[in-house]
Amino acid sequence: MKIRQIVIKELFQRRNQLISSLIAVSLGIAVMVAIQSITYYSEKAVAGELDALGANVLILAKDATVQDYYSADFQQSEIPEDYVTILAESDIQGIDNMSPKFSLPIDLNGRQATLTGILPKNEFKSKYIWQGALGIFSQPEGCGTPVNIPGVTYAAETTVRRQVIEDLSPLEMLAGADIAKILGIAENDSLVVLGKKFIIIAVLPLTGTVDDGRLFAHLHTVQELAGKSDVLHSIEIVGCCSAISGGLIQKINKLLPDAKVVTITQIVQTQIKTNTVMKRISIILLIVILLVGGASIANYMFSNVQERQREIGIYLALGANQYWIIRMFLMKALIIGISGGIIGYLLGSVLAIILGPQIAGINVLPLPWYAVYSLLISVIIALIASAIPALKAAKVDPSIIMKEI
Amino acid sequence: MLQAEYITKTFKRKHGEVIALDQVSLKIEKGEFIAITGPSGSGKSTLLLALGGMSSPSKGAVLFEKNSVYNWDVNKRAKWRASQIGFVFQSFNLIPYLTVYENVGAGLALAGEKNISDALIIPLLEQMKIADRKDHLPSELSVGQQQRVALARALIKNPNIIFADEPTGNLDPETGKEIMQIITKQHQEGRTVVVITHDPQVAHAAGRIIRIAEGRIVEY
Repeated sequence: MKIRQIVIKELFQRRNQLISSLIAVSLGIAVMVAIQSITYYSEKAVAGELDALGANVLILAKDATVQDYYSADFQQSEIPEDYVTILAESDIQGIDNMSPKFSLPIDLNGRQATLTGILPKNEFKSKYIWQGALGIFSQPEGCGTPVNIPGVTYAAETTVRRQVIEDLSPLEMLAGADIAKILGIAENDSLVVLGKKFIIIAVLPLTGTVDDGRLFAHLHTVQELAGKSDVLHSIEIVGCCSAISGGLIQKINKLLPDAKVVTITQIVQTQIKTNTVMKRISIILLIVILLVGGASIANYMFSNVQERQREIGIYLALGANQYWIIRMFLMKALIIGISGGIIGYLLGSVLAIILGPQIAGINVLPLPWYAVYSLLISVIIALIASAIPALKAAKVDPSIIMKEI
Repeated sequence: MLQAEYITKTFKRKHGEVIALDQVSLKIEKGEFIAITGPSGSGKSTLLLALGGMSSPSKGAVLFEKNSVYNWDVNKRAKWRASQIGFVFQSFNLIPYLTVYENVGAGLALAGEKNISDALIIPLLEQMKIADRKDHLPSELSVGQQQRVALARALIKNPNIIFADEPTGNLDPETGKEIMQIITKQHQEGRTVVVITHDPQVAHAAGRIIRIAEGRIVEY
């Protein structure tokens, strides 16, 4: 007869108490797992949206508007190119990429268009849509950081295109999908802009953004064509989603007080706020679980010790020592903790799968590592809550067995 | 072998202090069969608990082979109890959710036996005529069968001393007689037996009768 067998037998004998105690712990863990799972997938969704959108923070001149940015009608609203260096050298966390831009209105055979100067590598990193559509880069991971697919080898043509685009030369140009269609130009065609002959090295895929109507050349080439140097019209920033909700905009504002800093992803911003709120709620819930679950188990254990005083006395009379009695109660707590953790995790995962699409509009899958967290939290709560009752049990006066029933 | 030296046990109650044992001295030799009698509340059970290492006296000492039992820490005392003493109670004190087999096995396990097997338990259950009830819970047994289980649990670890508190108190005369036969047999096999009883017939089975009144031994 081992302690474990005795404990399991006793647990089943008082199964009503066991069930109520398990419900308290399991529900707490379930709610925590559900919220954490939904938050996790919601954050993933936000990261995906941010990646798809590319830049999510804009730096403009103080007097420029977002409308100016979209219409490329910046006029004299310029910002120093040094801002890029200032930002790069700052200790601000969460800036994944910066794309400085200088836009120039141009006339192409009587048709108004916009030539935008970019730094190709930076631009390319921020434009997931370009990358994905060209089939050159893999899906991004996290907050807008593109990564290559391990083990994938690129076709020679793809590699060439990638190298060409990343090394955009002064006489090379990229064309947005719409403008290319309107002008009837294709890859390797040439186009004369402001008296300079450019080669179209790629027609960009349709993005549904202002990029579709623009031509892109190297930043310094466009600045030279405009007769300007060291100035920009905008800097597009890919900010990490958690950094944006953590005050990235305010930090940039503080660093560049003469610039206008706006986020261009209001919808995502709402989702980020929701995620932040959900994270906070899950922390509050964790505390509530610790208190309610712990109190429930402690209450159960205290009443269990009270009810079982005679039984404890019998064990002591049979030769059990104090450690044996403590072990018996802690083993019981361990069983409740493990069961509560497993049930809570399963229940929480099911809740998340059901409620995820309804609450956050996202599909949720069970997160296996949350099973470990659930077990740990549940077991720790159960053991801590049972420690004092177990010590109390060990101090039961064995003479209680002499009292007649 | 086991000796009480001027043991006094007092309990604090709301209305004052109650003296349960008052300077009781008693020597129990190895292999002796002692019956302790006396009216209810006279201190018989308190004396048994004190002798069994379960209730520390307020004053005095309990010596086992010249070692003071209450000078040992609680765990050493528990180990001593597990190896040397078998308790039998009037109300049986079986664990309600363990079967007959498991109740007896628990007694063996707490005595430190690691390999609990049928070979150890079943013969004793057969001897107690309860082998056919081995998978029954105490609530499914008659009172006589329950007391047999309690006896089996006390005897399974082969103790040197058996303390029995009113072992026939809840039984009909016939069953009581059978239980006393088993206890007497233990004495005949060389065990020390201390029985608390109100029953003169039970007391007469003992080699020595000690009478207690108001916490004092009044008759040896």
